[in-house]
Amino acid sequence: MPLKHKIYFALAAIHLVMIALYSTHFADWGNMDNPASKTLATVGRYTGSNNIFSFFAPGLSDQPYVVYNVKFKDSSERYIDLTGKSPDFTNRINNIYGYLTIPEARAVLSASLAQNIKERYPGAAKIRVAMVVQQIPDMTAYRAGKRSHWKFWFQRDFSVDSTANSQQ
Amino acid sequence: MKKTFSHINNLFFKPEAPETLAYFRIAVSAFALIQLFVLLPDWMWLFGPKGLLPWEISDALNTSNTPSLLFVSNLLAHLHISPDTTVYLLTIIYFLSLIGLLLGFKTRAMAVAAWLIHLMLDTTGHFTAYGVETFLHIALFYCAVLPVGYRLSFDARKKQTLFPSYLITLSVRIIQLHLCIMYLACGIEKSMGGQWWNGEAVWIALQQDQFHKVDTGWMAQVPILPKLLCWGTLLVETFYPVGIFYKKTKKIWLICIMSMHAFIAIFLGLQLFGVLMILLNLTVFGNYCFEGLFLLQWKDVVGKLKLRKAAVAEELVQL
Repeated sequence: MPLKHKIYFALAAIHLVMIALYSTHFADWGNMDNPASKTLATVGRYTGSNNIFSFFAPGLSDQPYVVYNVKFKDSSERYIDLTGKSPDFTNRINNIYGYLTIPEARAVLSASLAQNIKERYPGAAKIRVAMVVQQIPDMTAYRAGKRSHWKFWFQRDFSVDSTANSQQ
Repeated sequence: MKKTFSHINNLFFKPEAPETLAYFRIAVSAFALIQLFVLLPDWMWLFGPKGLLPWEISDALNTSNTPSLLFVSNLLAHLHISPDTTVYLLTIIYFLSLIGLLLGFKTRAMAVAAWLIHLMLDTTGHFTAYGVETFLHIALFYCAVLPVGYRLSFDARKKQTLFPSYLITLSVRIIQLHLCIMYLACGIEKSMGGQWWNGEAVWIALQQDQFHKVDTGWMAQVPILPKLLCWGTLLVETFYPVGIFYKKTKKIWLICIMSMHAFIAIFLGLQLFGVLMILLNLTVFGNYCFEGLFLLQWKDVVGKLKLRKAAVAEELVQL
C-alpha cells in the first residue's frame, strides 16, 4: 500500500475518532477556549464530525409556539399564525421558537420575528409577539380526562417606529 | 485473537461494490434537489437578507467559523452585487452543482461546490436548520472527498480511473461507521431519559401540535403500544452497530431502522428528514445487507421475470 493510501486510512481514523468524541458532547467537557479545541471545532464544522445526536433525547419537553397580534393603523386587529408555502416551513420556524425558550435569545429573536411580520403586513402599527407552550398530560392523566393545553410564557410589544417598548 | 484480526481485516479490506458509492451520490444529490424545490417558495424567508432572521442577527449569533451568505455578499458588494442577487446567484450555482453531482459530471468539483454552498446556507439559516441539514451536510462532505463518481457517472464513461478495492471499502466503511456512531449515541442519550422507558416519549411526540398528523388519543388506552415503540427504538438504535454488521441480523436491522424513519416521516411530519435517513441507510447498507442488490442489472431482472413466466407457463401446460 503506498504512503498516500496509508495517510487516507489515518485521516479516516482521526475523522471517526472525532465523530465519536463529539457525539459524547466533547465540546462540553471543559474549557474549549484554546486554539487546539477551536481548530478541532472548525474542522468538525466543515467535515460534519462535530455533531451531537440528541434527537428527542433524553426526552421531549413542552412545545413552544408563537402567536402574533397585529394592530393596524386603521385600528383593526388581527391574530396571525406565521406560516410558509413549503410543507417544511413549520418544522423550521418551530426551531426558532425553540430558541425563544432561552431568555438571553428572547429579545433579539422576538424583535426579528416582529420585523418579519412588519415586512408581511406593511400596514401594521403595533405588533405583539406572544409565546405559549403546549403542555401535554401523560397517558395516565389523559385517561383521567385531562387534555393538553396552551400556557402563556411571555410577550413583547413592538411599535412599528420604535424598538421593543414593553414586555411581560 | 486470530479470528478478531481476520474480522477487522475483512471489515476494511474485503472488496465492496463500487456501485454503493455511486448510489450514495445519486441519492444524496437527488434528495438535495428535491429539498431545494420543496423549500424554494420560502427560500428568501429562510435564507434571504431580510428573512425570518436578518443576516446581521444570524451572523452575530453564529458561533462557528464558517462562511455565511453575509460574508459572500460583502465580498460581492465590491462588484456592486446586491445581497438579494447574491442569494439568487448562489442558489443557481447550488442547483447546477447538484445536477452535476447527480450525473457524475466533474463529480469532485460539483460536490465541493454543493458542499460549500450548503455550508453557507446552513450557517446563515442555522436557527431554522434541524437534523436534515446536519445529515445532508455530512453526506455532501463525503461526496466531496470520497470517490463517488467512480461508477455510474459521466466521468467514469469518459475516463476510467482505477482505484484499489480497499479504498472503495474504506470509503463505504467510513459512512457506515459514521451512521453506527450516530445511532449508538442516539440510543444511549435516549435511554438516559425516563420517557423512553415508560412510553411517554412516543405519546408526547404524537400529541405535540407540531407533529400531530393523526389522532392518536386512543393510544393512552393501550399504553403498552407506545412503550413497545419506545423500547423498539432504543433497541434498534443502541444495538445498530452490532445488529447491522452481524450476518444473522443485518437484514432485519436495516428493515427495522428504515421502518423507524418511515414512521417518523409519516406520523411526525418530518418527511424530508425521514426520507434522507432512509436513503442513507439504503444506499450505504443496502448492498451489504442484501448482497448483490446494487449489482443487479435491469436486464437480469427482466431475464429472471421471463424465466419465471416461462416456468409458470410450462406448469400450466403440464396441468
